[in-house]
Amino acid sequence: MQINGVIIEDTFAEAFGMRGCRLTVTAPSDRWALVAAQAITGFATSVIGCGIEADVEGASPATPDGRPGYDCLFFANSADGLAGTLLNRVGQALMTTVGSACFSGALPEIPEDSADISKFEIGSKLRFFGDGYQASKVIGNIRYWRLPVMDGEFLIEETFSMTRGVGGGNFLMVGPSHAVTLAAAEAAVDAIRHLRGVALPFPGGMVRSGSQVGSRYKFLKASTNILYCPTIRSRVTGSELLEGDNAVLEIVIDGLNEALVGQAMRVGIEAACACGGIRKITAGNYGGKLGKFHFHLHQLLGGDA
Amino acid sequence: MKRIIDLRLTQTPRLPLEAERLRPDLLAGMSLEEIYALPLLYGNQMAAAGEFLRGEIREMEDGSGACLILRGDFARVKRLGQGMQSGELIIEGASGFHTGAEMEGGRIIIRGDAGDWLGAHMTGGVIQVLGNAGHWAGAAYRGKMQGMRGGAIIINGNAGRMTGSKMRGGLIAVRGDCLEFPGYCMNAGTILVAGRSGRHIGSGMVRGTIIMREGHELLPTFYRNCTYQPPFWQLLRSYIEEQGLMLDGWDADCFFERYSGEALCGGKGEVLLRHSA
Repeated sequence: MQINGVIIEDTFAEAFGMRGCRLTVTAPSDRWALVAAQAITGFATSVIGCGIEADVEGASPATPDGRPGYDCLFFANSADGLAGTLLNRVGQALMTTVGSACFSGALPEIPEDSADISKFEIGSKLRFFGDGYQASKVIGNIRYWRLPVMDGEFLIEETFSMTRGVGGGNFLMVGPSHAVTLAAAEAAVDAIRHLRGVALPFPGGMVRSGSQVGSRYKFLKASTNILYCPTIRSRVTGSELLEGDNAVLEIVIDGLNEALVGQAMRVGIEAACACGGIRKITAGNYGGKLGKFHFHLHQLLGGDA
Repeated sequence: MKRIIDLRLTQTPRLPLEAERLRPDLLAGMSLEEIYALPLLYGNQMAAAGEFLRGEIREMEDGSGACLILRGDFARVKRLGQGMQSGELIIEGASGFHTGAEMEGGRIIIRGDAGDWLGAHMTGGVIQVLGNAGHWAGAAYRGKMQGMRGGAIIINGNAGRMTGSKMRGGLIAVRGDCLEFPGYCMNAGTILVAGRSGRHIGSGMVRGTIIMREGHELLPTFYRNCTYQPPFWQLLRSYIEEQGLMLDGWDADCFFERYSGEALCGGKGEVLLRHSA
């Protein structure tokens, strides 16, 4: 299968079940809202080393407190992992940001009565930082906690919602040069960023150091994806690269449900192909034995199964 | 399918009529004949509801649940919507004492004035009064320790004395003025008075929030902390507006003087006085 001269390999991306949630962070100005969003989603590229994957989804169309704000998505392997990591992130990265407040983002992608949605607490645990001077305020049916801080009050919702999401949707762009491959990857990221409900957790939305499971070193769980490293192509048995393949970039996608990840992969691949110049698009998998979700590239793009 | 029970008061009761059975959730499954036969305490005797009420039942395609519409001057009819759990009660006129007391859910709209003890001990739902409310709105009955614990009372006009006395949660918002002792001994919750308030604001309050405009004299047991913009203000303001009360001049970016008190009761309560620009 080819799109605009780009070969689409007959393979699939293998993704995993994760827990995901959306937080809305606000601040007195757009500048500080963005600072807050970037702070709380920082160092969250992969669950392997960070325990969580996160991304700034975009400016929030309507924040609860009417101030500028950003929606952020978070994904982790387990409910406890997500809740525990977020407690630390909110406490250390968000509460410390000037004028910030934190709200549970809505999950319109998931039916309200879905059994996939569950609650977890952040505000009710973080409140003890107030050292006895914290106060709650119930507005409507939602309880908020107000913690006295040096610039006023930090406001945070008591409970947040999480859902069963999908993590690890991916595709790789193989190109003749770094510049061409980067241009295609940037086009793909830009296209995917228009969607809601999906996160691109790596810097700038893409990753250059894709990994393989395991290593020749016993102490290492994952190592560089040698099959796609052009500088060692001739030394690696079974390299996936051909003569003239000089750069590979990967886009990893987490989403609040399977359909969103599939849609994001399709949109991204089409944008990369439309950009032109790259030679091949493929995807990463583990033979289909590890991940519950398989995204076949040809199926996503409307070709043969 | 929404069931609308539309009843009109055919005669003004000469004596107080206790009408705690007039609730949309209780009347939802009844026929008109069954409603007319409901026994109500009239003075010291029982009377059938049909002696005072006549009307019709309609069904609408749009919506769900039950809506009870009461037309007339119900100022002498007590306990309308008491303990109500769901549905909508619209009173096209005044309502008597204890309207919406112990209410748990649903919505009551009173297009006239409301009597004393409006929403006393309520735990949920919303009461909206387009006129004035009497004394003890959202309060605790005498001898009880906790008044309203949840829900909202939205008063477009003025409120009487002891508004929110011993309240333990929920919201009371008054667009007009209120008389003395708002938030007396309140334990939690929020009282907002957009107009003027009588004396002894928050007397004996343990926790909770009272919001007023500046210029009120507080008790000496309230201590000033700072001038700031509470992050929750915009949330509260939006919620009040959603309930149909527009607060002119109370903008999203208001500044407030924050006072803690009452010091004799632990000082965990707060009074926020809106700072004029």
